[in-house]
Amino acid sequence: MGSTTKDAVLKIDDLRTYFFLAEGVVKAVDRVSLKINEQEALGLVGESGCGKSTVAHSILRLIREPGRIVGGKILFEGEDLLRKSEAEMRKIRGGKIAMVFQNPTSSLNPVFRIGSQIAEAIKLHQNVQKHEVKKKVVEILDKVGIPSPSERMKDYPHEFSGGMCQRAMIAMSLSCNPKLLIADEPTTNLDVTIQAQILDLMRILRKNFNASILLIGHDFGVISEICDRIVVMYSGKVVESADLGTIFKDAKHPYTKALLESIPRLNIETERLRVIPGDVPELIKPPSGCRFHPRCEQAMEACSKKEPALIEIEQGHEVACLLYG
Amino acid sequence: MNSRLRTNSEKKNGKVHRPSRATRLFVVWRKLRKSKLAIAGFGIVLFMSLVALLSPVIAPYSPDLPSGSSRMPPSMEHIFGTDNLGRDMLALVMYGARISVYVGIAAVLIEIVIGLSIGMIAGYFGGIIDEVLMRVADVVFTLPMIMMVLVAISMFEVRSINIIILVMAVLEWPFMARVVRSEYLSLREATYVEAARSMGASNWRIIVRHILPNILSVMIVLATMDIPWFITLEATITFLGFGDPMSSSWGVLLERGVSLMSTAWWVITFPGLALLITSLGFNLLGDGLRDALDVKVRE
Amino acid sequence: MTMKDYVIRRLIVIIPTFFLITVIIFTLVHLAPGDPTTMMGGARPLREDVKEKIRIEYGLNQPIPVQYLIWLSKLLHGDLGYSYISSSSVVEMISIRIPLTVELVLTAESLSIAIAVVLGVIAAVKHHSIYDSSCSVAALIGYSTPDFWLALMLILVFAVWLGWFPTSRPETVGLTFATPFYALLDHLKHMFLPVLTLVAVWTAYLFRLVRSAMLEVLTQDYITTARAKGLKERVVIYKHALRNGLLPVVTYVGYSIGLLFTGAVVVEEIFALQGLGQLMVQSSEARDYPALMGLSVVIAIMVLIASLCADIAYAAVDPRIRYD
Repeated sequence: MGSTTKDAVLKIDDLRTYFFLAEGVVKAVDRVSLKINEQEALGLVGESGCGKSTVAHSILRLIREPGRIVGGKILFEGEDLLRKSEAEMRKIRGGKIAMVFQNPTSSLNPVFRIGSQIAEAIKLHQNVQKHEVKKKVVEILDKVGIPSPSERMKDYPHEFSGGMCQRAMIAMSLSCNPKLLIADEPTTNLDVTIQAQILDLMRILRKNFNASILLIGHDFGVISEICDRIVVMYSGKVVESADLGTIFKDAKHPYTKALLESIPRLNIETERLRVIPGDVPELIKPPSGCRFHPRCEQAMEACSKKEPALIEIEQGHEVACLLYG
Repeated sequence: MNSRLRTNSEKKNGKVHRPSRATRLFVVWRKLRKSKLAIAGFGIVLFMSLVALLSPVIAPYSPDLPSGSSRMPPSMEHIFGTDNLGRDMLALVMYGARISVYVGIAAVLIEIVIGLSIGMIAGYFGGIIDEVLMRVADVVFTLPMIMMVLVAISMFEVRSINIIILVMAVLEWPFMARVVRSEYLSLREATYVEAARSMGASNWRIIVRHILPNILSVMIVLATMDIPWFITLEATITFLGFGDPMSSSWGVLLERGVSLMSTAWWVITFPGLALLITSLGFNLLGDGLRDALDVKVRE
Repeated sequence: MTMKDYVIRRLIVIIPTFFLITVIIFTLVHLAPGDPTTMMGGARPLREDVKEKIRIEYGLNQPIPVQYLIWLSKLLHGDLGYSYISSSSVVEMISIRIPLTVELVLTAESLSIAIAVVLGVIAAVKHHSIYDSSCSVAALIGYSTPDFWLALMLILVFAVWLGWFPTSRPETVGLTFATPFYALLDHLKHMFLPVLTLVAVWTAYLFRLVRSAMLEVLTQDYITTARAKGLKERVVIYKHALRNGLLPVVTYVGYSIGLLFTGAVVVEEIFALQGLGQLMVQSSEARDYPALMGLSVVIAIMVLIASLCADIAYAAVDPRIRYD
């Protein structure tokens, strides 16, 4: 990695998060490294089960038994989060690093009002007078586009639609001006039209709040709306990382290429959609060598024996594939 | 408030989707075998059933005739001691098992028949029939069982165990009916039912071949949970003096034993322990079945 | 829908429910063949003409539906009739006994809920620990224990053998001259074993309920959100999780009032406490027809009120239910 760490808000080094199950050890995140710069939006892409959500949870140390972070470093503003005490982590969670989840309606506590849940976050991380809190809640709800915020803050989550719940979640996470916003599949469970609205919102907010974003998803279309750089994960490992343009025009890793080709495109005539054959590998007994080799069209003899390392093939573009070194 | 029993099947597009019956049975069997508690429960139930079945053969003495002196403490000849008439307690407890097992099974069978019918009727016809049935069910369910049973049986001249069984079982129908109904309603919308319907299967065929077998797993769990409830309730009612004093039900033994309590502790301890262990066995088994069949009872 | 609307709706439903209850009770009492005159007279059954006189006097010769309506109209005026056995007014008989039963049931239930919630939450949080397993096993045993047998065993051990507690009655007979404090102490000593019996069995069931409810709640998404907000684990559990986890408990308490009464009957009878339960047993034994019906209605009403309170409590805690 040639770029300096001067601008990096988040730098993950060699992260390993394993799940210790009765059937065996699942290496959900196996030596993952990535970097997010100041005010940058990084997209983390991959199929279900590739470990991207686990990376997100690991950053905030939300991993619970039977999972455990077993190694690596997570440097946030220069400090290793894995060395911090629980009390220090609590200050960071919801404060400097905030997270938005996949199921907005079920991610909000059904028995508390929206306003009070947001207020809870504000009271926790900011030194705000009691009477000021309500004002701030209304302010932030307004900023995320919730109509009549002072009325609607008294509502309960089940009175909000899916899209509105997600806005409220985003409001909650932005209310304390985080430096890093982690969004774990924020639009996956929403209607396509609502998806577009939420993405628009996130784009605007990114500008106004100067936060870095880690956007996790499996849909390239969604990711490309906001992100500057993309990291592709497969079976617990990073297989490629580059900026948005490069990925779309010049993807090198066979998996990335296959992912891109399986996106249906309206302007290109194809007979059948390109499908990646095979199934996502079992993480307890992953394939030997390169994990993608059983499904790879360009697999070579060596691919089943040697695990490729993540190598920078050009400025800002890394690939883990034996085709390139 | 509804009692909703939801089976843990995948929801695809909001509809219920289930793997084939053969695989499910295998998975259930495997889970059951793994649970030590379920096995223990099954063992106890089996043991009690065998005792009940074989008591005339294996009882050391006759339960009706005195076989020792009155109020002998537990000893080698009389493991559970004797009662005030010199009858062997072990034999009495063994014969008591017959009554309890009979009560449990008979009551549950009656309950199943009534509860299943009413639940299916309510689910199938819907509308006003459903409303009315469920309203009545709610009320009957909330009223104290013991009050209703006592009120019903006290006016009978005869004290008979069959009357107790009948009244208990009939009054318990809401418990099963509501669950059957909600399970039926959710299964009706299942994808495979839709598939069968689209291939032209008649309503009756769908109910019998597709829905009933799946309601079965739910009913098995409920039945296993209700058996100890019936056994204990019968014992309680008999203990309070409303049972047949000629039978050797554990309730009768306990009723007789109260006056002897301070001088002959074994007369109440062992029948009660037998009751406890029997209930425990069924409860363990019921728990195990519920986990294995992946059934969530929402009260 | 606001709470007020919800409460009003629930109150309106009570009226048809009440009538349904009266029908059910009346039906149950009349299930047996014959009429009450067959039971009267004890060892020597009454002569037919005497029976006929009694029938006319008590209105038992009327067709059943008419009898029902007569009884119902009297009921609505607060007249529950007179006991066949003691000739005192049923209303009087019942009112004297209400306080004791209420005291017994409320005390036992409150204690059970308190203990079960504390133990259950800890067990759920410490899932798979020794604490969890041992509590669960203890709960299973407690829940399988017949309450009347437990009462007897407790009497045997603590009253007969150890002599720590008295065996029966709510207070020592003839204690009218004692100071209030001493009287209270005496009362507590007498109520200890009865309450303990009920608490043992009820806590067991409630514990299982709380534990399984909390276990399910702790896997929910909003708990992860709460942690991601930076809340202390204690707050996550006792504020976010508990409130949701207690919902099934409230529902259960509402439904199980009937079960509570069943336990009360047994305990009152064994410990010779003059409550409604004991009256129920006595009236049933004596086949005291008006007392039986009146008592059942009163008990049913109490159960109805209790479950209404539970419903309202539930709606107060869970906003989703008000929109059903």
